[in-house]
Amino acid sequence: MKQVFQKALSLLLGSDTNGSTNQSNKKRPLKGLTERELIQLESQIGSQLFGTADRGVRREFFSVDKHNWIWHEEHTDETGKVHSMTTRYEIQPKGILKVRVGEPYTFLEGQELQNLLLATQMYHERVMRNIYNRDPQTGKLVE
Amino acid sequence: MSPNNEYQIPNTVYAELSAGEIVDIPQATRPGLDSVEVGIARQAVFGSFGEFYPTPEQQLIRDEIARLSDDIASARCYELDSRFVMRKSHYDLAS
Repeated sequence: MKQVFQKALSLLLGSDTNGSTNQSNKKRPLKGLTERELIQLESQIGSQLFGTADRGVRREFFSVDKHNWIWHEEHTDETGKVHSMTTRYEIQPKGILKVRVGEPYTFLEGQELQNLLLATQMYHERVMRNIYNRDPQTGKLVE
Repeated sequence: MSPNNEYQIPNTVYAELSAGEIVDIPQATRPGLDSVEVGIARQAVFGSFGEFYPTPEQQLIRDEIARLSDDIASARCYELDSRFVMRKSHYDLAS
């Protein structure tokens, strides 16, 4: 579990150990991007799913891997202190486990589960179409 | 104990616990926690998983989220893997 949070943290903070450089390519614009950079591209879409964030608020929403989603939000108060909250949604056989450090683990139910479903559907639709150039329904590459 | 008699797991311990994973928490590295408290913490975490039985609708939603996640992970992997294949092809041609 710590590894997932550490991976999420490195994605949020921008440290990269893959060593690959960002190169442009007209035919394959994503060629040369590291996994972290791909996820950051996805997160740009994910952060807009909940509407425009208030000024001074940074929001991230992305899929870390096929078992984990991260929602991160942070804002700076009047004194300049940064407040942040990271929530990890873990896909388990029985349901979606909500994990926040310092809070009891809970399986999502009710409206919260519906909201996550909606968010992942929108994320999937936009990421597949706009980043990976794929048809969200079939998963096939769109020429 | 909290007012509703639910044990609140200390942050330091919480970060170490993972679903379905039995972990050992050395007592010496967790000042303020005795073995009984660690036991209760484990029971609170692992016990809560065992009590959840999803409704058919919740299971459907869970399966749909898993499917979407898998789809995205596959598309991402394709981008990374295809780059590897291209590099390999380049290597093969060069040889």
